Amino acid sequence: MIPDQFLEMAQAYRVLSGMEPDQLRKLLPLAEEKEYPAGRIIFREGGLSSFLHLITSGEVALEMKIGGEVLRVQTLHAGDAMGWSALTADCTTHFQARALSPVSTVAFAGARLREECDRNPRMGYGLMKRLLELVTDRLDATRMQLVGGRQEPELTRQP
Amino acid sequence: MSFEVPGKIIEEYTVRRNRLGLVQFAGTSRPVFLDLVPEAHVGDYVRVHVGFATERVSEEEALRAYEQLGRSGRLETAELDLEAEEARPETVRRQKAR
Repeated sequence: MIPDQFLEMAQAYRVLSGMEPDQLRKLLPLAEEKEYPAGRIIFREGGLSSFLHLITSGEVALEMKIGGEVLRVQTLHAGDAMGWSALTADCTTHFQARALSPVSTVAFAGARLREECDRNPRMGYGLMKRLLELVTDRLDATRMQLVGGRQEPELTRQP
Repeated sequence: MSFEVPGKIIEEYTVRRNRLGLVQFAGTSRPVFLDLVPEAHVGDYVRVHVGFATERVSEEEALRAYEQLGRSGRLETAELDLEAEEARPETVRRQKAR
């Protein structure tokens, strides 16, 4: 019987734990651990994203401002990634990330990560494939939320 | 998590394709991935960075690291931090091993 803490660890680190050892050896030196108390804004919409974060524990609200109101787009948990913008050329964030509980992440400085991916395309491709899987999951989850929210009233009108 | 001193593997499990171990540091223990150190098993000492054991070290080297930390007084400080573990387990657990 495997204790829960090991199953949780495997889930929380799913992006990294699925990588090949030689890719991990190149990536890990770029990583550092970060911690945020509940309520802390990790990054702001329209600001600059310096780190790609892999959440290892806690919950994070991804939010955006619409007409002066802050709307929660998604809630992220251990195993999710945030701060994709750190991998783009201009690093501009599209959402605000706010810690809902104490949050721990494994964080990669975007600029160093981009340089390393350019230097080691095989490792970079491996990382991007993993991250793309996460993005796909996130898109599916968001779509389900939107579709679910919109269909419910219609379904109740059906005989 | 990145610990200044090596930790000792006290348990070992396979979860899906990964090998994980419970690694004991100065008074605390944490689950750690062991995939990068296939030669390390229960009883061995490893260095850990952000949740992964990155290097196996000899027992002599590990004990030397603990001794140096103790001599600098930081191991005692770390032990004192244990008192506060109930209040902020995650944070304190990491601090005390540094």
